[in-house]
Amino acid sequence: MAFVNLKNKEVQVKIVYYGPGRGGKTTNLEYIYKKFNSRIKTEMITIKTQGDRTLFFDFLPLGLGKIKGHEIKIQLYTVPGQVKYNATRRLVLRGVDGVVFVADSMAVRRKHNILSLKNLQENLAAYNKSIFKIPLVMQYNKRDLASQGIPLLSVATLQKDLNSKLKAPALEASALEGKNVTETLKKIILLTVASLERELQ
Amino acid sequence: MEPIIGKTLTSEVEKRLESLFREEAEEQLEGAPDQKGKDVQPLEDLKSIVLSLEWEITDEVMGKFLSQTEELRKGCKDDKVLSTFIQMLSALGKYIRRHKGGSHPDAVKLLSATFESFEKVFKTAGTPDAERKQILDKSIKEFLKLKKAIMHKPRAKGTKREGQKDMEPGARVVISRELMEQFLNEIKVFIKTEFEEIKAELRSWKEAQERS
Repeated sequence: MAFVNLKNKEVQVKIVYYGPGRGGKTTNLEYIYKKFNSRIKTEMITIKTQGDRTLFFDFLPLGLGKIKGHEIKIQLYTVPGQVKYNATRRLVLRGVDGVVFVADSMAVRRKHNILSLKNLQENLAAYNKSIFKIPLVMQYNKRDLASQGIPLLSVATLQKDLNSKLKAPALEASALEGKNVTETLKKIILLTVASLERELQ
Repeated sequence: MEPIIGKTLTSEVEKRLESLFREEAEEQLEGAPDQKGKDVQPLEDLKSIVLSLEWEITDEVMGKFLSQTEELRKGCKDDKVLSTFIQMLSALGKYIRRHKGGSHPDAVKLLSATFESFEKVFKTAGTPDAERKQILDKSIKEFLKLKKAIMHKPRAKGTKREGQKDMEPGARVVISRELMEQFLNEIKVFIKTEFEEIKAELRSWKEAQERS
């Protein structure tokens, strides 16, 4: 659950972007940071390998200002998508309040999406959290590649593979072009805050 | 004290989010291209190729990239700023085609950023020359920075070229076609040297294998 510090009058909400490697998680945060840099007024922290892959995690804090005298802080994280970094993924998920699952729309990445979602379920379970209960938004990324003749999974297939049971809100997106990046973020923040309200009332 | 969590929190957060991200649509409209009759199709084609480099770098993709830059070069030959951008894109493209996965980690990123600046200048006809040159200068600085990083390895081995000077920090960059060609030649020499070193290493490895 979100960290509410009554003494410092601060509410911290942690949102994690999860998904297979090379799916566009970091690109989502980079777009937000680049586009709204002047208003966000914080630094994005990212640790990458030589090959431009996320090694540990990306972190972007967003301040929403004071509401009823409390500072609302949204902390955005990404996890490393590569299979071998599961310990880091699990660590980043500690205390998570909401998840954006960034699926790769490329047909060749179908299996990776499914495995990554399963991995998310397992890692959440390690913290006694259910993937069916946690605020979750599905983002079907890289839709722009269709215009280049690259074979993509249809939205229906992605829904069937990943979202038939979860029934989470799903958005088609292109993180590289910024399409539906902010919409995804707004959706997950609102879902998470609404969930927080329900839990604390 | 009023409780922080209440029915109004979500609606208040929603308002804040709208405010935080409010100008996105407006900015996109303000930044809408003023194409003034320019044929943007080659640019759009090049953009698609640049985007595809995010996930795949092959000879075929790089070949398309280079032929598309050539296509654009013909249409921009009378515009010095655009021509210089195309020269940089072409140089980066050739470098990435040769090195592929072994390219400097910033090379693809720089190519994307250079294309982004090129697109901006290309699409906004009527922008004052000073502003266009300012965008170009910024790209050139990044290009030179990468070039320096690529050249760093041979220099460390004592192969620094005669007459090569380090730029003073903050120095204004003045670029010409000749200078750009020189950069290209230097990159070619660097690549050739690298290949020779690799070949020599392979030869020694083979000899060692034969001996054992």
